[in-house]
Amino acid sequence: MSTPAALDRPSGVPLIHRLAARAVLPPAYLLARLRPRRIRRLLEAVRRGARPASPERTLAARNAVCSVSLFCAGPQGCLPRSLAAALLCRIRGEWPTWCTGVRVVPPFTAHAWLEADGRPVDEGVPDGYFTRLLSVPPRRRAAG
Amino acid sequence: MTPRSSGIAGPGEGHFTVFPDCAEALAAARSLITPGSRVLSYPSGRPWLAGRWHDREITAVRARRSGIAVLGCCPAGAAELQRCAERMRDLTEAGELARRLPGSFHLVADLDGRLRIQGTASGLRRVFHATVGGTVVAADRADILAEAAGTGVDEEELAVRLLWPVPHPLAETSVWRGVTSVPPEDALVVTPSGRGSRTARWWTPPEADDSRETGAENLRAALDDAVHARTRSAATVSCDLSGGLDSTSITFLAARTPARVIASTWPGRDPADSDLHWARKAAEHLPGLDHVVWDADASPLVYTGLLDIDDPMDEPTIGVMDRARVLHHLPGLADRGSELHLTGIGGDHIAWCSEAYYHRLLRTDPLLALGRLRGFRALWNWPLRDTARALLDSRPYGEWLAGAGRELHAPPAPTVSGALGWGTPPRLFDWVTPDAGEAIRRALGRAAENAVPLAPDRGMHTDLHLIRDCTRILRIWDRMAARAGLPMASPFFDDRVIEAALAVRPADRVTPFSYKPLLTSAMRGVVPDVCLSRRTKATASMDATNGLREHRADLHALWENSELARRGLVDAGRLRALARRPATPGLREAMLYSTIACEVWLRTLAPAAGPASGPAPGPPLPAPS
Repeated sequence: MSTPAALDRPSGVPLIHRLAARAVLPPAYLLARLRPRRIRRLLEAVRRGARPASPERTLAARNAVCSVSLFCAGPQGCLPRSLAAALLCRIRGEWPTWCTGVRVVPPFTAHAWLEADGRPVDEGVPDGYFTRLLSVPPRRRAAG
Repeated sequence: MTPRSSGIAGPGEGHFTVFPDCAEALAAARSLITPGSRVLSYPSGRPWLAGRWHDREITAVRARRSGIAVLGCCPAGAAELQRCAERMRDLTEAGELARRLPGSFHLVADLDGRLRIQGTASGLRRVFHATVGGTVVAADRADILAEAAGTGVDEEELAVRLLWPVPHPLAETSVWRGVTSVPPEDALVVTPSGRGSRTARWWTPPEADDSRETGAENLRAALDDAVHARTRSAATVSCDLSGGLDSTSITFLAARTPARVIASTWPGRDPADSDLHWARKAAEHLPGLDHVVWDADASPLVYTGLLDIDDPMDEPTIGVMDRARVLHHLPGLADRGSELHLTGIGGDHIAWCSEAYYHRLLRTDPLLALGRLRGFRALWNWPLRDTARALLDSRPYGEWLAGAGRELHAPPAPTVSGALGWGTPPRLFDWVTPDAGEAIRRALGRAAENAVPLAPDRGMHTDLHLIRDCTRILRIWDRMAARAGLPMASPFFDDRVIEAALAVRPADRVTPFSYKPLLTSAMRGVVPDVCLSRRTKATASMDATNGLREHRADLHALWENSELARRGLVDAGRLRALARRPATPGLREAMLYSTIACEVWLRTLAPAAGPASGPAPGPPLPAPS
């Protein structure tokens, strides 16, 4: 697997997105401390009323989060990163699929990531490389 | 392999011994010069150099009072060396010559009966000496000297090699009784009588004060020279093209030489390994390139073939773990016409360097250091408390080493303490017997009393230490490769390249915010920008994990009739139990490597090298098959 060998800090993120990203960081860190099932339950409550997020918008949220948080930009920051980016999507009225799971090939490694249109966003791995154990997809609604 | 006339070794495969010009040396020569040895003599007729070597790998000249021989890869011609020999007024001039020339070589010089032998500062070419028949004899390998001197394995030194990792300077000593190893920064000087010897320092690390711009220019020039030095004697070379920055740099530099270049990519098995993608991207920019992509699933895993290793090695090396992987593609490349295989090994060491520089930078440039340290914490997941503790630990090297000796059975130290300190504190594992543990503690205590770090700054010390740790493996891989039919060379480890990289200000080459910034700057214009933009690096973690699982039977077999156990150094029962549980989390780390290395090494030794044996007759090296 390829690992980051340097921190990639996205540049060119508009100020308003950076401010919004800063605002969602504290709740994301709080969520990250909870047990997975509670995270799921809370996220299920949070996603209500949101449209599905597109891959581009999900990536923009992820970049905004990585531009304001060194830890989220780092290789160990996957959980707060995915949570913060999902929350950031939410305050824009959208919701990606939040996932946690493990690598399908050894060694056993847990990971949290976002998907949009059924594919991982900016993970640099082929589809199906991680298998989902928990996920919170956008809610299907009659009217979009 | 084609049969060779005796004495002519394949490139990279030979060895040599050096004798002083005295009557006693004739007796020593009798046990070291075997039928088929090549011999160069002093004007007195007594032997000067003896051994096996390829014509391409030696340039030797003699003047009236002096002689110079260069063995290895050195672009200096006989005429240039002849001028040096004729002008030589002092033996230290040999050190100046070695500090000037590109390549990687041993340098032997004598003047008015005094003899001087030196290897490389990288540690890739080492010098050993022993007293044989009353005379000091030097060689580039320790085992042939031990054999001639009639000594065996020094079990206390061997026990020290069970440590993981082995701290400086304990890995630099020889594991043979009666054989002394010369530190890479020193040259060996032998008196005219042939009875006395001393060492003289010839190399010191550079002052790290170049800017990144200057450093990048120097590095590009040094690396270019290093690659040219290799391609001038080979019409066709092969290069690893892993997709990583290091091997891509070497491939592009080689493609600028007149040599034909074959690029060899060996993708990882992990489906997320993006190396192949990047390798193809690089190859697209080299139209004339012959690009070979090997089948990922056909390449051996870590731990393959441990029981079948029979290469002559003069010390244990953890390189045996990866031996099968390193050698696997060489015969295929030789079949395609490659005469020399260039690797990107060493790029990590000179271009991605130790974070330990920030221990000092925090004191000299706190604002810059704090910002970078925050980045490192995020990148490597260093806990705040451990990071602070490591930064506050200002013990001198000897004290640190003594402290490490008291914590040999502690749980592994936090990564950050190794990264920001003097190195990873060594650990001993519970399969090492109490007697061996005691011997190791004594050796550590002795070393701690006089230990001097490789450089006063812990960053420079760590960089140099990691370079030497790697060249220690590489010097044995290089021999194995030559024996397998295709010699290897690693231009990143040429002394001139190392000097160019280490001369750059640490803050300009070690940063969490860009990947190998110095090498990236140096390769701008040589390697296409798109290949320099990569910010990830493939890890072979999946291959390593599978290797452990698939080869557990071999590992189990290794501890049946264990040589280490027979010598009372390990408890084979515990190791067998461990082999039955290959998924034990600790084994994901390299904790077994040193023990496997020592066991495999003991098994490769002829019975003659055992502790109770006397001098053994016959040639020291098995002929290549």
